[in-house]
Amino acid sequence: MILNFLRTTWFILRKDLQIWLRQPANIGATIVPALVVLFIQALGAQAVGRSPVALVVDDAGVQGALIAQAISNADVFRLQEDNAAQAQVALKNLDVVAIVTIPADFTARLQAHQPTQVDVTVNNLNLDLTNDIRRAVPDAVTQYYLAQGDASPIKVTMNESDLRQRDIQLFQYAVLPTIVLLLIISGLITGGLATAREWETSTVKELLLSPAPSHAVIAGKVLAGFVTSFLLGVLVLAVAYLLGWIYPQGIYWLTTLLIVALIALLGSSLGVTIGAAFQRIQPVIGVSMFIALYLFFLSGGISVLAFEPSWLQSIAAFIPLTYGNHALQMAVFYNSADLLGRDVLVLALFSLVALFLGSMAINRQSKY
Amino acid sequence: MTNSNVASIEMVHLVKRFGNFTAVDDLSLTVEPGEIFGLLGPNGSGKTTTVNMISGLSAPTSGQVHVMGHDLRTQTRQVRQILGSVPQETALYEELSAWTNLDFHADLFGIPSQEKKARIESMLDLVGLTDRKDSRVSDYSGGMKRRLALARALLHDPQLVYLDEPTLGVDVQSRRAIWDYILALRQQGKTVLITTNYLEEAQELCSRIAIIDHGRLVALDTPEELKQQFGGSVVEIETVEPFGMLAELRALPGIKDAQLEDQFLKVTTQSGTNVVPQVINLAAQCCEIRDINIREPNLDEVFLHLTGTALRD
Amino acid sequence: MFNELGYQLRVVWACAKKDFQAALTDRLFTVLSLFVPVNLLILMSLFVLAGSNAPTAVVMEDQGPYAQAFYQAMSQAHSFRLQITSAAEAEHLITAGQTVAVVTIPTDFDARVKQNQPVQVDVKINNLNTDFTNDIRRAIPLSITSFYAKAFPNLVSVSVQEHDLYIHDTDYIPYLGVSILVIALMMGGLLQSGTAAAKEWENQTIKELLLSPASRWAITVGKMLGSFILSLGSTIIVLLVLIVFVGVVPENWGEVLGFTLLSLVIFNTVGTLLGTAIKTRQPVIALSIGISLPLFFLSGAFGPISFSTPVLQIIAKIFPVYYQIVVLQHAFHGFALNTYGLWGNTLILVGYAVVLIILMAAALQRATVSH
Repeated sequence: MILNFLRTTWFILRKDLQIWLRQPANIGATIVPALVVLFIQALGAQAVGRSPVALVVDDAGVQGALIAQAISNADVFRLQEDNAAQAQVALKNLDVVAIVTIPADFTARLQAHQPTQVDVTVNNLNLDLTNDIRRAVPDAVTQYYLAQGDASPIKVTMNESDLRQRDIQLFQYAVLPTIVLLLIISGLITGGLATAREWETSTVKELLLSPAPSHAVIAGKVLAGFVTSFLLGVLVLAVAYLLGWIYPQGIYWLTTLLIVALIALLGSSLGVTIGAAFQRIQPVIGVSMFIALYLFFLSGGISVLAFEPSWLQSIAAFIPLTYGNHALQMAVFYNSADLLGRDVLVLALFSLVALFLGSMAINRQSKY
Repeated sequence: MTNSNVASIEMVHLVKRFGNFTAVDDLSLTVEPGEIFGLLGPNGSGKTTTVNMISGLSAPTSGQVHVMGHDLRTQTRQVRQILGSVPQETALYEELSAWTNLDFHADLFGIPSQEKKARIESMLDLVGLTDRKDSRVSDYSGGMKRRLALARALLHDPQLVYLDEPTLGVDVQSRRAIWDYILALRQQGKTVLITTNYLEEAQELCSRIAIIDHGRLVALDTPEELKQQFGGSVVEIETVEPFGMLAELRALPGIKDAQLEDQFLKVTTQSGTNVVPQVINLAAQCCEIRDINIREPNLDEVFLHLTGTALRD
Repeated sequence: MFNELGYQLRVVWACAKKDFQAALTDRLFTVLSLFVPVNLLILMSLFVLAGSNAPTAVVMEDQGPYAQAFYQAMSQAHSFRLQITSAAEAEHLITAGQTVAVVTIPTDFDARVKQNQPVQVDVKINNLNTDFTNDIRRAIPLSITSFYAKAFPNLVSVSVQEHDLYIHDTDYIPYLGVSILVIALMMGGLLQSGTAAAKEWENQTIKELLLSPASRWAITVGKMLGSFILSLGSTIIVLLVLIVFVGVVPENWGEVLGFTLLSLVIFNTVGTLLGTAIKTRQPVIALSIGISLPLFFLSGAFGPISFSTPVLQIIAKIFPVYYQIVVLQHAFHGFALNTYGLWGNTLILVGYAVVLIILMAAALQRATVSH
């Protein structure tokens, strides 16, 4: 009986894979956008948190030069030094977000112990960029004071300790959620369509009229969706690794692949369930996309969950992809198995539930 | 109304290549107005490629096609106006009702608005689908879909009607009904072009048949003439023991071919000869005869003889 | 001539009506795709709901006036979402991922500040990515400087004087909401039109269209019109949500209407072109998402593209989405995001629309049915 089950599962898996391989447009349409998103984020990485700013130094004195140096050394802007007229043109032409002007009497006022101001003219059309400037300029002023060493009037300093042993760029951070999105969409749509198409083209009769047990049919279909999604996920992982964006090491490659496999299995199981329930391509695609987007965004998307409101964080606790994201981050960036057991258990449980639902859906539809 | 002076379809040295593969190879033939013309050929012979070129769905690599005197390359729109097509896959909008499908077709073909409703009703009545006009096409049987597709093709009163495998997958009753519609078209003076793999259909409907194979015209004539060219009569004899005088049989004058398989002997005589009694005599001398059948050659035998394959291979 | 025009217009209407009727027979997919744009708007808004303020636990080991003043400086630094907790609670919060930083103001903060002695503020950061981590790394020194500027103006006399180009700050969600609107419309438009076109090929009903005497222009426009009408439905829904629920009220209603319609024309043409080129629904639908997401990151959704890297600036300007975001940001907020002016951007978009429609008709003209 087990042998029969395994044989049937293999036959279904093989047939679905052969069909998948004959559809290069589908394969391309799934994987190319994921890679493109990553490349675009990598291309834009330099600009994240470093806005283009024009620096106008009207002061000819020492302090003016020092604070200009501090602003430059702070490395918080993409700085260009202009005169006032040029800076205004650059601001008008949207070449810079802001103009930082060291006034002509900066050194004189400081030496006279008078308050002095650094002027910042900012294009505040976007709060995110504006706040970057609002943080960065005072930060540069602080660096100016700190550069004075013991003579600095500022005695309060920051003692930073980081939870993670390395900084991760935003575009690197985004690799893992992108892979998760790819896996879930691929699993849902590939598994769902492979199932729905059987009904739409009436080839389901071939399956239902055969002596093959229905759970073997389910297993074969889920495995086919799993294999295709897993392969695509591994491909994107490989590309990201070769580009040096991610760096799991040693055994953490295994945990990474395990999590990728579990997410692929979850997507595929859900997809087969949806395919068996709706039995037509268009509704399956509509429902699959809907579910994929909600699962993805409710697990935090590419943002950090801690930034979200507490009600959203509570919802995320019930979304399996939240645990997938966490486990992948730990393995890929920090070579850690922190809470791996929990993450694996959650993903496995959800996959089993999805498999069970899929089995019920196909059994119910056997009355074709 | 047809202009009987102008051929319905005239193909001159028609060629279609897909890369290195030649699907249609220097095909020239003419379809006369008012006839039902059959295009036969094994799978992959170039039938559908030929018809796609006639209907303008595919551009010839070289050669010319004129439909009702219109050059297909420069007067494609006029050709489409006078052509009614029933594709093999019917191309019906399955999620819509029969009426909506016909209504859409009427708009596409510019049937005057004041005539549209009456024409649609008339066509639905013609094919016996009036009582199902509001049902979704996806709920129709295969035969009903074909009938609806035929109704749609006739809606704009075309002069030339093309049907690709008109009774494929259709039940016996619907097939007979479709044949009657097609014969009625000829009565109305329309020209009909059929591609088919059903021999009875070709024999029943077609005034002339063209057989193409590997993109080339192999034969073109009426069904009767084709059979005549193949042979006079076919004698099938079942003997109790295997027939042992095959060489002598083949040596008889007027014998075109003799095939033996165990106790079954099949002899084809040449056209215009009367050698059947001698064949029976010889068979009787050799063995005890269990059964004799004398008949005309059928199109399958003609086809096999001309192309080396059976029509349904 | 008028008969001919009348016939072609009739074909346009017939194709649109037929597609619309067909969409209505598949209600589930139609409803889902109608709501794709608004779902995307809601979901991506969730993504930016809390803005960029880092949830931070503050452990006030010193409750003195200077410590309080420092806390105030932090709260005004545009960077934190602060909560005062105990040390144990703070440790729990950062470990559980509910905060990303813990700032500990030491017990001797006030005393040391009074005596002008060095004092360190411990900042523990869950440095998951450099984007918010660097924000915190800058915000703490900012807080220190503004604390000193208020507490000891004689000591720290350098301050920042800000002048804004616009009277009001535009919050992150209203800004990003407009960009998300464009992408949402794009995804919805591609989905509707691409699916409708691909389905004709998949089901072979394209033969009915290609064998008719109708001009390819009329068929093209008719198909686009059908999906355009459906896209209009989802546009109304998403605009309602953006304006009524998210509260992003346009400055110029006429521009919003005009540019939204122009965007729909472009997206529906691209979708129809995609469906005609690929001829099967599955990859078309995958590409509807697959094209929209990269273009979202590419086209200046988060801010003017001129602030991004030179490579991205060049690539962005190839695609109409960039110009659509520019004109709609102007329509909603009055922002000028490039130097081409409103008319310049509009002409570019009209140009895209015209070229795409021509390409679409040409594609259908050349379309043949494979055997």
